[in-house]
Amino acid sequence: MSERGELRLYVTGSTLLSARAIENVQWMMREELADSYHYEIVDVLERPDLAEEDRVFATPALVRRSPGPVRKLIGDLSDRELVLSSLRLRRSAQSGGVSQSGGGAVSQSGGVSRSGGGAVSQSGEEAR
Amino acid sequence: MSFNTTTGSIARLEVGIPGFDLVAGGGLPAARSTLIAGTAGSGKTLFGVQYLVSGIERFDQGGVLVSLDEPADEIARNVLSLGWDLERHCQAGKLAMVDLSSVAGEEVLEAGQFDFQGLVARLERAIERTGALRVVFDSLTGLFPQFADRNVVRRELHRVTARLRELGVTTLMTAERGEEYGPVARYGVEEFVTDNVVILRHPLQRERRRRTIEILKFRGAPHHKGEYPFSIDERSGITVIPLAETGLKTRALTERTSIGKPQVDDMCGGGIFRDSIVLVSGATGTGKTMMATEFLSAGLREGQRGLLYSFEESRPQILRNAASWGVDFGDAEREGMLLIDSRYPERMGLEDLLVDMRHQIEEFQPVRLAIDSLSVLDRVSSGASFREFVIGLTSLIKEFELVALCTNTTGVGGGTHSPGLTQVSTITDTIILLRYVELDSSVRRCLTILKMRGSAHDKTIREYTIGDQGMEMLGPLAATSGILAGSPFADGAAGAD
Repeated sequence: MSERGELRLYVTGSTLLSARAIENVQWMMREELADSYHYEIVDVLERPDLAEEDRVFATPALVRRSPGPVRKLIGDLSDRELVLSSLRLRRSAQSGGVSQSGGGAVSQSGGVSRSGGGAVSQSGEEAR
Repeated sequence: MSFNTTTGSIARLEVGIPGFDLVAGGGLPAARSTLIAGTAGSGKTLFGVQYLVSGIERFDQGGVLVSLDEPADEIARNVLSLGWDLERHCQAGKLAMVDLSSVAGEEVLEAGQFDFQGLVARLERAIERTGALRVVFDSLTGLFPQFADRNVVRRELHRVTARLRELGVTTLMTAERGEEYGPVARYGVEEFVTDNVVILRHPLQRERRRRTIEILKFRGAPHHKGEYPFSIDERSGITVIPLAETGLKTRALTERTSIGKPQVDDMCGGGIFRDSIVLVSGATGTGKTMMATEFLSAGLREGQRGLLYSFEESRPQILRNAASWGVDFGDAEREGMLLIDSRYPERMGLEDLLVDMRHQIEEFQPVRLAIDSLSVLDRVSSGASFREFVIGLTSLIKEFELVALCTNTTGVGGGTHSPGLTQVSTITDTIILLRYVELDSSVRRCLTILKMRGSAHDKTIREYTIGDQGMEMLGPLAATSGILAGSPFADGAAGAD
């Protein structure tokens, strides 16, 4: 298996911000990031210890745990462009040597995506 | 929980930092939040950690330390030298650390709206685990630059403190400020996050740092106003100097004891009072140090421990002088009846000296205290700090029911006190004046009791000599006036008013 990066979305219960963040992550995974990452959703109310570990206190927060360096995106992730541009991976030779970065508008990169929504909800299940 | 229904006043949480609760009117308003603001190095972190440690060690109240500026384990390492073992308290389940310090090399970006509910969840868990009644944030200053909009931070912190209030915990938040007398804190919004504001200062005065604490605002709760000095030492951390007006309860002792000279005791109406302060004021060479020596010696004869602070003479000098007056201080020290502390006060601030004295008095348990001289302290300090020292010293003497003799060096000519010492005279119970007088073309010495609180006393002016046996009292100086004014003349002589 190709090694995918690891994302963890921290939310707090079923607040509006939590719902929006989840929706945004799911959309971005579906559109662009599924090949690069798997992700899990952690509810801080249930697992404050994990938030402790990642030193998360402002929520929602999307933490890229790998590959390094650790990157934190704070907020409901409604700034999708910022999230995508900071999470895009530069693919090395195995993926055809083409850098994936650069796509301007979100809808464009959405079109290139080959992910399926199924994969997302599966990995999403892990922590919920 | 925070409201005392019987008096309608806000309930207090006794903090346990020595002296602070007196100044604060009983403690911090319970279940409220208080900002501790100060410049770099003013002791904010120390105050916060001591607040937690006192809670655990003195009141068995759990605590939570939220660290923002430096990792929690670094704070723990820094306070270990004060004997505060945070690690141990954590293991015992009385303390929890919530580390919010940023990780080196980590990138943080804002990508939408956020809140601090994650922090609230972590806090709730930590509070539940430790049964915490006390929470400390150190410091808020590190929080603001992490986010683009400080108003969002302020709003979110508000929600955090509101939740902490619901949980019934009393919260301290430290914040850095740029100048000693200026805006409360750096970002201009910190003070609005909390209910109360306390300021720590340490301005340079006469090349020395003088630490003070001021309670700027206690919402709806009475407290003492103005700056109070405090010291930081390795044994007890922060000690706020409890000034007399903070309402120390004392009782007046009516028992009398000898000052060391039977004739002077007679002049005082049968000796000086226990728990009183005697000021011996006079020019150099009038025998002040000798009176201090005899005062301690009289105590030793009655089995009373003595503590001598000498700021002018070295220990060998003191021992030699005492021996020449027939008093063996060396023996008394070896027997543990006397403690001589000879030091140069230039070396330390008066606040530190006072805290040191408190430790020494607590440990040595003296009955008599001699300070030779007080005027030297006045010279090496700023006016405010000397005034506070004297007030602090007075409460110390009353608290431990000591009988104290302090000396004061005046000029050879007229005038009874150096300017700074005018306030000393108001707190002393007895003032003994030693003077040179020029009579019949010779310089002679005389003594008079200027004041004695609570007792009748001899108001005559008596002559004395200093010889091999120390001070020898003679009779009253007859038919002479103007001695106190510094220009004596025989009664009946021309020029009398």
